Amino acid sequence: MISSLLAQRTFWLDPPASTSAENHDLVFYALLYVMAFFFFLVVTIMLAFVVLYRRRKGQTHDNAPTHNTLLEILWTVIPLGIVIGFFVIGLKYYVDIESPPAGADVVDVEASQWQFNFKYSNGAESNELYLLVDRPVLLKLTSKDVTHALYIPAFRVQRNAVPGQNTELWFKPTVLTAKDPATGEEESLHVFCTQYCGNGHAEMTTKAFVLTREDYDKKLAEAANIFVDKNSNQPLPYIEVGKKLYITMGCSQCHSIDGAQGTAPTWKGLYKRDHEFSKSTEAGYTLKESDDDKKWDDYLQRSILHPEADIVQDFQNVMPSQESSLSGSPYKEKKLAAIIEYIKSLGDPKYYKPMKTQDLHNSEKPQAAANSEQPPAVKKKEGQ
Amino acid sequence: MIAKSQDNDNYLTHSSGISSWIFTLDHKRIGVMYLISVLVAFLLGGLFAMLIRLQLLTPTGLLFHKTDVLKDLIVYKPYNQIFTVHGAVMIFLVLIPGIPGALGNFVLPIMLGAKDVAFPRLNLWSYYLYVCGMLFALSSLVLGAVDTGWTFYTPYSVQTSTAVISVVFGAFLLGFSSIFTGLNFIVTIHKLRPRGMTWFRMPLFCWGLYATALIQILATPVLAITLLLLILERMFHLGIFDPAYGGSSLLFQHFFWFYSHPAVYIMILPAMGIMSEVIATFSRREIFGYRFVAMSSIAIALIGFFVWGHHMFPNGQSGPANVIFSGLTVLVAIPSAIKVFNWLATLYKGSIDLKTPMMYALGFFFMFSIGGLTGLPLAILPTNFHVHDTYFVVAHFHYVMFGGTLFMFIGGIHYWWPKITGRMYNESLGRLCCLLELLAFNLTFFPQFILGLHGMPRRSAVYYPEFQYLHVLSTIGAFIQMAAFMVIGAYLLHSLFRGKKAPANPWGGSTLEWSCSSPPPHDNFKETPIVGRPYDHHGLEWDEKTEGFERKEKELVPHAV
Repeated sequence: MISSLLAQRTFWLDPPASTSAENHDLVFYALLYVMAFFFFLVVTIMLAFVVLYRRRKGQTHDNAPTHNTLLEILWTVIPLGIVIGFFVIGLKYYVDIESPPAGADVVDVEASQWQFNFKYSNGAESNELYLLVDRPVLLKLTSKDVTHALYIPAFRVQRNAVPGQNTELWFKPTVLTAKDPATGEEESLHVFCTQYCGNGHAEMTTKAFVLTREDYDKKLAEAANIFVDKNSNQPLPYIEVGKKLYITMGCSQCHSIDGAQGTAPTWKGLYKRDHEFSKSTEAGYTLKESDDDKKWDDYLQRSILHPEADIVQDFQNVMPSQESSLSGSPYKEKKLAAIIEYIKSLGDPKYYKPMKTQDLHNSEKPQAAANSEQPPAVKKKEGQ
Repeated sequence: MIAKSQDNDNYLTHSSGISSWIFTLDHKRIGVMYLISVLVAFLLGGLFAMLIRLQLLTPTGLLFHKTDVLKDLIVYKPYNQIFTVHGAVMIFLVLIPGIPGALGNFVLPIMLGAKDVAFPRLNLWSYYLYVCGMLFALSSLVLGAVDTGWTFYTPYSVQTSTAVISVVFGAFLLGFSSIFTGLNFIVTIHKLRPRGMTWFRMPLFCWGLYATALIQILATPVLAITLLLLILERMFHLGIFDPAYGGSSLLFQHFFWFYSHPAVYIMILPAMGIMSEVIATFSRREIFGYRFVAMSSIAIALIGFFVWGHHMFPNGQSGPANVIFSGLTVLVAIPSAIKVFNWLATLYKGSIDLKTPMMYALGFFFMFSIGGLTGLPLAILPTNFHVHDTYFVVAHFHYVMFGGTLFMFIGGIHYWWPKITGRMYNESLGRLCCLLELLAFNLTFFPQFILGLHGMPRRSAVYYPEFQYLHVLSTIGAFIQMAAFMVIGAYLLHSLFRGKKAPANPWGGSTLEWSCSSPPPHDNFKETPIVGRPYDHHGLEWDEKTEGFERKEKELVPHAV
């Protein structure tokens, strides 16, 4: 459907794909005609006068009028009326923009450098936006670091995600995105960050899918349970889950897995490597290859939930705590374990003992994990 | 110093030696120094623009792009630095000081029949502040070019590792340079008008500079405080603008735009002043509805103070604030519209001579109309939410700032070039380049409206392939413009050495600067002239002997004297 839409793409605007876009296009085209009228009026009169009154020998109009109050008042009042008219029309639709209908589906959007994370009411999370056709949706935006903006041109909507502030955006998609019959690829709508947010701003783009109820439920169910393989319906090894979370939770923005130096320590060989800390909540805290597994597990967990507790030598305290991104999920403990498993797998092979997938999946009930709020790992360590 | 005969003495030959320039208090020499500095900055900003256009020639980026080797490295940072430096240089070093500093300094006192501005030493100080600000700002190129965008939005500007402080301090100094120029012009206009020149007999360029000066002295201090607070926030994390320390990023945006929106009028009002002068001279007409044109400058300056919030419609600003700012913003369109209609009416029954400056003025009609009208979708709320921070905005402000201000700056340089240098440039090349600029400008920036409407975000180093053909058109246009500017630079330089000697009044201008010789003598006028209506072309006729215009009949007697 998008391909057919693209085929009928018009010169000025892409076809509207939401109710807000239809309203926008109405106002825009009205403005466009008025703008075009005044532009051609000015340019035509200008060119006509330049030709009519070009300088000719012996011809002077030294006594042409120098002012005409009535005319001047007219060309003040008429444009004034027009712009006020447009302001009022704009106001009418703006009220609509600021009034999300009751009962709209809510999606939490967390923007960070440089990706969007969408959280749905069933606990599912994704970096792509899934939407239901003909259902109003309310996006609640927050930012983890700097100011971002969520912009979906097909819906003609844009709103900033501001750190330390909550913003909202609602719209009702009206056109389905579908599979391209030729390539089998799923088509999508562009989603951009429009507020410049640093090095990776240009790549802070994602896709939005407008789906039928059936496809939507399927997508969300898939997104909700990241511990199960979509095709075989078998539990996934934790290392695989950790690898996925490395991307979706944004770890990959700063931590490399190939030893490349970035804003944060690389994960390659991190496990059981001697660590020096420039700052730690515990004076003289170090971490050695020889330290036991428990101390290492505590350290890794603390570094994810409370990254400010220990700062590795030569690095800055810039990582946001992942406490909030994990706590909304019913799988908090499992996710944490999966990331730690993945980090361990990237360390020296002689220390890596893969977890037995089946055991772990059985031993932990997701619901229990969500309720048992562990005390911060910092405290536990004091007992050692 | 060599004593010259009275006839040959002009401000260029009045004294010699490098110190006679460095320590000069002559407004004309300071104006020339400003002109050279601004043009150097313009060249620099232009080169950065070319780099931007080169990068955007291909969807994955021509200059900085990902390769298999560089896949995990930060590759777009240089692009972010380039567009930031382009913006900061063009705004703070070219557009804001350009017309007032260079042309205003040179022309204003002569237009008023005065010997100099009210405070010549402050004027020189203002120039040196400009130079210091420029050095600070450009030092960042070595220290780590800033990658925040010229708007320095927090919290990113607090977090980035680039040399934000040196650029921000540079902008702080440039702000004071601007305040001093404004102060000087206000006092000059109040105190140094000659006998007979009532407020409503002032040339409209003076009105433009006066309105500009009002904004400069009222709004720039807010920028100064904002920038200082930003520096403190970066150094000590006071918690003013960075939410991580208890500050507010929206607060920064309010402070920043409280200056930076009026700054748009600091840039455009003097350009509108030049527009009035050029139209009057080359149509041989009094400006139609002089009072409306003069008062609309003041109206723009005043209303311009209350519209800053339209930069923040989707940024998390409250609903009522959005509505109020939208309403005030549509109002600011009216005084600009009045000006355009009055200039059009001035052409009516004129005697229109299409010399190079007039070509630029006609180009201004074209581009400022597009630039001004496309402000409407940005001012109206529902349409703003679609085009905000896309290429539509980029195109809009380039039409206003480049197509409006810079075109009239170049037009003004051509208009007063004979007066400043005493030489005539090649007229046919002048017209040809103006036409070429006009066409190439539209090729560069019109496609950007379309890009924005189809959803291309600004400040992005890469893009989806569907946007490519528009970017290619834009880049081609930009390179033609660069070439045309090179030719303009070449024939202007050539005229300095080989140009025909300029008469006192080559165009038939009626304001005072055309009644003193070209270049003007050190003291401008032997005695303060008495003046009447500013645009009285009565009796100005072409004289074959001097190849300039001479007053053959006495001008109409100023009756108020």
